[in-house]
Amino acid sequence: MAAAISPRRPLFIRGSEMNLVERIDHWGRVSPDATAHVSDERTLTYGELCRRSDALATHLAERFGDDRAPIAVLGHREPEMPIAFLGAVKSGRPYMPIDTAFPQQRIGKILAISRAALVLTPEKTAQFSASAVRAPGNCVQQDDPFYILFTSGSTGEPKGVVITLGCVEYFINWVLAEQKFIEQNEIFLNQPPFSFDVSVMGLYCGLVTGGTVFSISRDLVANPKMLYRALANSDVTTWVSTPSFAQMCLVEDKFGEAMLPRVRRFLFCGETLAPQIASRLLERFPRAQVWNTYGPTETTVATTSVRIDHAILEKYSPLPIGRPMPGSEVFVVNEKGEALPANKRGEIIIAGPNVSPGYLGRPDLTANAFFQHRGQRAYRTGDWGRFRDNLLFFEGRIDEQIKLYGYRIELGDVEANLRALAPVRDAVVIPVVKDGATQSLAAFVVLNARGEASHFELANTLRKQLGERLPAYMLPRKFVFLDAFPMTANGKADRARLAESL
Amino acid sequence: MTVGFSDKVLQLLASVSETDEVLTNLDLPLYESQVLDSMRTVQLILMIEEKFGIKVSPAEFERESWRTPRKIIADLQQRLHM
Repeated sequence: MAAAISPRRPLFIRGSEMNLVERIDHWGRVSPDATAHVSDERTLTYGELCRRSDALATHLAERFGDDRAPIAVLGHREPEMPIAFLGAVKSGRPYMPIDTAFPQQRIGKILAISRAALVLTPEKTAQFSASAVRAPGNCVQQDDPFYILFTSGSTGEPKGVVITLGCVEYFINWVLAEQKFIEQNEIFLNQPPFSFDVSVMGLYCGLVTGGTVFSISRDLVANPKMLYRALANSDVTTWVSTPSFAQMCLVEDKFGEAMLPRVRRFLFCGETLAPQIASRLLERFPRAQVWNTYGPTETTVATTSVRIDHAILEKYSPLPIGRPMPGSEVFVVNEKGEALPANKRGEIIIAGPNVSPGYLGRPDLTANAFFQHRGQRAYRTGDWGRFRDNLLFFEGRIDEQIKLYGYRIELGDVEANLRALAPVRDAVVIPVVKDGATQSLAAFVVLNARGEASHFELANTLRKQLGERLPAYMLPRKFVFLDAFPMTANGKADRARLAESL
Repeated sequence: MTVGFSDKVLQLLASVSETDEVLTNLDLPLYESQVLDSMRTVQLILMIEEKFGIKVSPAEFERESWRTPRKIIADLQQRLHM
């Protein structure tokens, strides 16, 4: 395979020595009027992106000097979002994307844990990026943090995964080598919000190749009529989304090659890709390829990939998650940490230049999950997996982490936040699974006092209070109120019994 | 026949939204109260097609027409008689 990828200096198209940021600036110079990003009909050109991120970087450098604390970027799909990301890293600081769907309290926790230097909203970014100046020359280097993404933590505290420029370049370079995008020609559909690392795939593959990134907004998803109209006008060539989003789109009969005649690739990440989704897409889009990818946030978006064609569909169900990127080692281990041969199930371990240096400000959690393997950083994914026919297969979680429509959720996170509510004495959260996928969460709650309220009123009250602490996708659909939990012999709540009762 | 149809629609809705409140509060604003969201709407569309053979095209869909249980019943009855 592509042998020339070195861990220290990824090849960037045609062997240029430009780093990822310089590559994007290059398009700003040669095609300033080309569209870099568009969402809800608000466009951002490469010229604007580069000029305004330069100005922002100058402002940040003047304001904060040598202090390289992270820059929180709060917003959704505004043109100021990519400007803020690049402005931060051009000034030598990582950015932390926070979607406006996050409740205030959760944002507060993230800011406290990260000790962010500043919170950039679209308005502030617009203000600080107004003047046209040369960027200061202290862009983040290979081993410097590039972005920090917060993920669900099992104790109720979110964890900040630090990803370096080197990690991102390694990942993007791999996708570029595998997909062979045509420069200045592609339109990338980006469905996941910027606070979700799957968005890194579409965003930077787009920006690095001089293509256009077409981001789906919440407003569009809530308005199917507008969504399909926007898709039909988008001219998308590469589709990057969670499988759930594609599944939702497939319900519309007109979703197919006629609506999106230029689509040539579907790149999936974030959750299990069901065979039916892949096969239906191949039917509706005969000229497109479907790719499945896998990887935790801690190893930069995705580390394994496989093209799902009819041969694979005929042979495997569930589908494989693929082959590792060159330069990364992916293997499965037993409880003693010993590597296992093919066809044996174990925990998936990932080692390589794409592995995060750890969790921000949490050396304890970092020491638990990360270690050194043959001179490279390695990460214990907590996923069961096994190799068959040189393909990796995912076989579930070892712990209480689940994926809901692609969102990663620690059940303990929801439980801890429920227990923190005044009416709640104790809580257990169980995933509601249908056809092998989690469809929603069910909360079993022991209240401090039952009171007179109806079930619906109680459930609504708790959901509303919880909604002040957790984003909407983490809120349980169903509430069951119990006087006590059934217990296991170990004196813990019997999750299996509760799950059965659903 | 109409009574039976309404009941069946409400049962489907209760199943998809996982709350019995929709059975009794026919004017419950489904989207505002987050009983329904995009994913759930699509699940409902699929179940309606399966159960009643009524095909709802997401590309033509307006949330306003399914704002409450009462409106969903009215909308589906209209589609049945088209």
